[in-house]
Amino acid sequence: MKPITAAWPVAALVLTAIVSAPGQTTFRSGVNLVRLQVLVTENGRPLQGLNAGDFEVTDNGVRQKVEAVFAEQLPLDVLFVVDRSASMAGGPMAHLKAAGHALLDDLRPEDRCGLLTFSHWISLDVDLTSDRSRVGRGLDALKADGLTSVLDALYGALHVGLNVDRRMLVLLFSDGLDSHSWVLPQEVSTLAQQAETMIAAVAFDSGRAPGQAASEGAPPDVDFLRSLATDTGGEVVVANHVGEFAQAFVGLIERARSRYLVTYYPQGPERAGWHEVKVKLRSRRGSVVVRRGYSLPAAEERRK
Amino acid sequence: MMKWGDAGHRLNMNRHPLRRLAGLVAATVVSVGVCTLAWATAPHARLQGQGGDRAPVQLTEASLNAYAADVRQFIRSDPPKLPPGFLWRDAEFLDSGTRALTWAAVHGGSQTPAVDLRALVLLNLSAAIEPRVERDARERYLMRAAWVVDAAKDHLPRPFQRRASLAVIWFWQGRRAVQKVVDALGAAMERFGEDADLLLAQGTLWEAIAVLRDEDRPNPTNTEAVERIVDFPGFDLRPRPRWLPRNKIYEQGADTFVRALRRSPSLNEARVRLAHVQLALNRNADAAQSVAPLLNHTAVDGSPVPYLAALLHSRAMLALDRPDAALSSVKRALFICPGCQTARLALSQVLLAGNDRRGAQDIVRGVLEQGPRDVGADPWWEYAAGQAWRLPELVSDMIEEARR
Repeated sequence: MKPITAAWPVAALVLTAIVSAPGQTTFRSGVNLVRLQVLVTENGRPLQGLNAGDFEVTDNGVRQKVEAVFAEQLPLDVLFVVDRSASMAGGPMAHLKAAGHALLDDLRPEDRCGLLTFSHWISLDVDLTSDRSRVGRGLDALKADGLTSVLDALYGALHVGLNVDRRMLVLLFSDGLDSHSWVLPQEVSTLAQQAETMIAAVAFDSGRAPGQAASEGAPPDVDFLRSLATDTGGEVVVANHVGEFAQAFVGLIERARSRYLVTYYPQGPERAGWHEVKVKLRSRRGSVVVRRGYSLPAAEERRK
Repeated sequence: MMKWGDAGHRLNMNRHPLRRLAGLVAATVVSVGVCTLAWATAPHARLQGQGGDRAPVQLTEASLNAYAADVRQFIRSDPPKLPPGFLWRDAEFLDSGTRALTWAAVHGGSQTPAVDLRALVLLNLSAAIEPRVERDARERYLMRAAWVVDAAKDHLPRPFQRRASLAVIWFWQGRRAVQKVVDALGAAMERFGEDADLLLAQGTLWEAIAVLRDEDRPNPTNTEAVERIVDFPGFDLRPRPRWLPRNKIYEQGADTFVRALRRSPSLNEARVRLAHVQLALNRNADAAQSVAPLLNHTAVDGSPVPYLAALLHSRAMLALDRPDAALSSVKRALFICPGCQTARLALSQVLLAGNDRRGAQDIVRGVLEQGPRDVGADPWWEYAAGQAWRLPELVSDMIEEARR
């Protein structure tokens, strides 16, 4: 299927719908299908075995009819967005590479992975591919140098093609406060709200004195990353030690895979702008993590 | 007030402890003037910083003569060239040697060779901005230069002192070392009062503090920086607040840039920075107006000003919902710097705002697929480094003037 820009995700909603047969998932054209990646946990552990009847979804306060729920059968696209700024030199970079390989080992054959790296400049070192050895070589080749542009990197990541028959995860790793981005936080947030891509992050805060200087080790802006993750249904893990990287990555991947894909055709008047989405369980107990909503461009914009 | 490394002792040429003098003299070839040597090697005057594996070179008449010869050779060479052996001299020797040469130049009458203090400052300043020198060593050269200016201030022309102070401020701006900029700028404003360049540096400092702070997540180190800054003459932020809202800091920056422009209307970098803080304050029309006079300027001598002006104008136009004007400005930025990543990202934003999503994605894809060799210098990446981009030219001008 041809990639669709993540900056225009709701276009995907206009164009696609899902039909499902056992062991196979395909998509067909349809109108306004909304896709939500939903994590349900009970006592901190993913809750399995739920179906459409277990979910209650409201869109701008209007209750929706859940069309379908998919669990693990959808493959995962993971775009690994990695900080290669100078502050990563030495131990952090070595552990990051090892943890990156652990992440690759945890992927399934049908999953794909890509590598976007950043210091003050951003680069897609490996486009999404099922050849994980290419990503591994990309990781091995990383050298720490330069300053930090987290927001530019996320903006770039949200423009990497989204495939509507897969689940897309942007997995950010950074150890520092953004010092050189052109793109503003609210611009990344807006783009993320329009995208179906889930954003998760591992923020490395080794406890260096904050505020020394932006270039000298101020920790990542965890509050902003949390807000972004909440917008997109993702999560943030703060690692305080290099030894925690691998566990953080693998945990995030596993929880991403445990998410249900819940789909519905919005009921009620079509309205451009922000749609607040709420998901609850009907009869089960559990904690639900899902994106806060989505932004629907005006009809004429969607036609372009 | 100049502090010497972490020791935190103020240097005073009229008071120097001689406690270790006897031992030091015995360990040194005593053909150098005793006062010079004692002062140069006194424990209170020792530099902190780079160590090095080599044994320190003894401060002898021969070694001091060699250092003095480096100073003379440097100032005479045209174009200015660092003497080949100078960068290899060990740091401890240069610390003591710099003191000895300064002492001799100020007091005279010893056997220590006399050198032009300006040349001594400029040699160390040039080493501080030499890209081949390691980062820590560059800081140490800078600190030597700054120390000479502070220690011998009655013996150096005031304009030279002022420019040397600017060089120190700009150097620390380039390192994003906020606290050191605070110290250097405070000392300079105390000595020279407000002038346009110092006000520009002061406004830049406000910008740096604004991005370091986050009112939702208090940061004690940044608070200290803010508290230090309000102690400066010229900073009229009273009463001293415990936490400054970010907008208040940006307003201080805007006011400071306006004052700089009143003193020097041709200081175009102040216009760019004024626009930047106005955008942060959501004063988009003001921001557009601030940089509008620069949109037809030609980029000369590596100045980032026209490029930055075009970029910021495009952001202001987008915020004012004028995508056509934004596109025109961003094209101007791309004309000045065709390969610049920031201008290309800005173009993608303009296309997105005009609902050309496919166009925006193609642009971002192009950015992402740039190899490291294709990524050129982007002036936006130096924005946070303040006026550091002017440092080589400043040092070059100072050398030219010292030669006359």
